[in-house]
This record gives sequence, structure tokens and C-alpha cells, in this order.
Amino acid sequence: MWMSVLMMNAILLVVTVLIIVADRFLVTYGDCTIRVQRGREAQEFTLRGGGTLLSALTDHGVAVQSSCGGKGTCGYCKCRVVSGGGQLLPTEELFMTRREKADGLRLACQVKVKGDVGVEIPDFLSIVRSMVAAKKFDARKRWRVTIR
Amino acid sequence: MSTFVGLVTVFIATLLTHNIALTYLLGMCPFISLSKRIETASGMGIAVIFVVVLTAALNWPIYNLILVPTHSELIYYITFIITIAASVQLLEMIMERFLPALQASFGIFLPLITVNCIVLAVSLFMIIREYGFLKSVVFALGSSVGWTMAIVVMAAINEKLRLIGDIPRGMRGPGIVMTSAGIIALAFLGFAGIVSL
Repeated sequence: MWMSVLMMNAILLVVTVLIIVADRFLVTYGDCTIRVQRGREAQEFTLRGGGTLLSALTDHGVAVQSSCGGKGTCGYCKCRVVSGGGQLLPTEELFMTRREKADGLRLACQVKVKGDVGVEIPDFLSIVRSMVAAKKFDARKRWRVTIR
Repeated sequence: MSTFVGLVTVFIATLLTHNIALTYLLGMCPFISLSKRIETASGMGIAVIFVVVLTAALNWPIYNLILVPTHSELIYYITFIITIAASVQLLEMIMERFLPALQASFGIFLPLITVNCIVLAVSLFMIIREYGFLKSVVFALGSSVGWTMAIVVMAAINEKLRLIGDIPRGMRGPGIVMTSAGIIALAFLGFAGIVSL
């Protein structure tokens, strides 16, 4: 029995070391700059590439809607990736209409930061404020915001 | 010669009479969700072939050269899962670095396969049936090619069904896929008796 436990730990150790070494030497995207345009505000920050756009944004205080936590199942974290996002993935297609695809919308949780990325995010708060001010917002009605 | 005949028998059996998708109903999650378009289905199929063969080739020596001599057969389930997860992760990193075009064509399918039951099932079957190394690799290749064949056939049927477009509302989606899969499985029963494992 103790041999099994020992072997289990040994295998885990080898695998962990292998992945850490591979991560250190194979995944080297270097520093990537992310430019965020949110309504009228522009923001720019630099981070180490390799993670998802959603985690990069939330780590730097840019709140993006997401209820599944980046699993690609809720489809809330839509944003327009202006540059450096790569191709639309099959996992995103389910959540996109033809128009949204043409507009360059992506799910932030599915976009991997591999280089400099330019992204536009709808400023929901100011959109809602302006709708309330113009008395166009009715919480009882289903509503949606289209990014233009 | 008999070894060669044995290998061909295993290959044909896993492809037709013991098809992993249609006989054992394994890998049903991607089978249902990714069988809408032939292009997606074949992409997933190729990724499955790649990973199943690789993990079978890794798991066989781990079981027979490490676990059996140390009398640790008890932990083979969990060891296989760790090997599968780690090898998929490593494979993705290597492909991202050296073969970005191939990695882009696999897209999200490669990491998805880590939790696919076909991969674990093939490794478990080869241990339970006490196959040798070469037979295990051929078995893995046959099983994964058989699964790919099944999902591509399913996708082709789905594409045709969409063209017809008069599927009852309640049957759309997984309902029609499972019904069609059942009919294909019945058709594959016709191969029973050709070869056996």
C-alpha cells in the first residue's frame, strides 16, 4: 500500500516538474500590451502573455460581465477585439450572431493573449445611466445593449 | 505473420464490430455536441486520434514497467488520468511553440479531449485485455479512427437533416442525434461476426 502512495506521489512530482519546465521554456510570449477602449475612457497596461483576455482585464480592474467564470458557457463576456485576437473559435460561434461575427466581437474568456491586443468594451454603467436619464430604461422589460 | 494478422484483426474489429462510439457508447458528449458540421467533426476526430494513440503509447509502459513491478496496480486509474491530462497539456505547449498552424487548426478541441472518456477507456481496455505494446497502439489507433468515422458519418447525416428541415421541434438537437446514432449502431451490427476481439 505504501508503495502505491509513494509511486503516486513520484508520478505526480515528475508530471508537475515536466509541466513547470515546459511552461517556463516553451510558453514565452513575453510582455504584451493591452489597450482597452471603454466608452470614452482609454486604458493601457502590460502583462505577461499566455493567459486569457478575460483574466487579464479583470486582473487590471476592468470589469467584464461573466457569470461562468471564463468557461465559455455563458457568453456574457463579449467585447470587440480590434487587434491581436486571432480567429473566432468554434466555442464562440454558438454565442455570436452573423452581425456580431462581422463586427469582430469575441468572448474575452476564449481569446488568449499572445501579443499586443486592442479591445473595445461597452461601458454598461454609462449606457444604463444615459438610458435612465432619457427614461428609456425599464427594468421590467428585457433589454440588451448592442456594441456599435 | 500471425502477429500481423492479429494486429489487422484488432484494427478491423475496433473499426467495425467493436466501434467505441456505436458499440460501447463512449465519447457521447462530443459526439452529440460536435456532430453538426463535417468540418468540426473531422477536426475533433483528428485530435482524438492524435491524443488516444499518444496516451495509449505512454500509459502502456507506465503500467507495465512502473506500476506492475512495484505492485502499485491499484492506482492505475488515477495514474492514467494524470498522464492523459499532462500529455495533452504538454502536447498543446509543444504545438503552440513549434507548430502554431496545426495548433490553430485543432483550436479548442485538443484541451477538450483531456476529459473525454474515450481516451481513458482505450487505456483501461488495453490493460484489462492484457494487450502487448504494439497491439495496444493498434487498438488505440483503430478505436480512435472508428470514433472519428462514426462522428463524421453523424455530422454528414445532420447536415442532410438540416437541409430537409422538417424535424419535429421536440426531436431537434440531441434527440435526433441519439435516434440517428441508434440507427447507425444497428447498421453496424451487420458487421458482427466478421471479426471478434
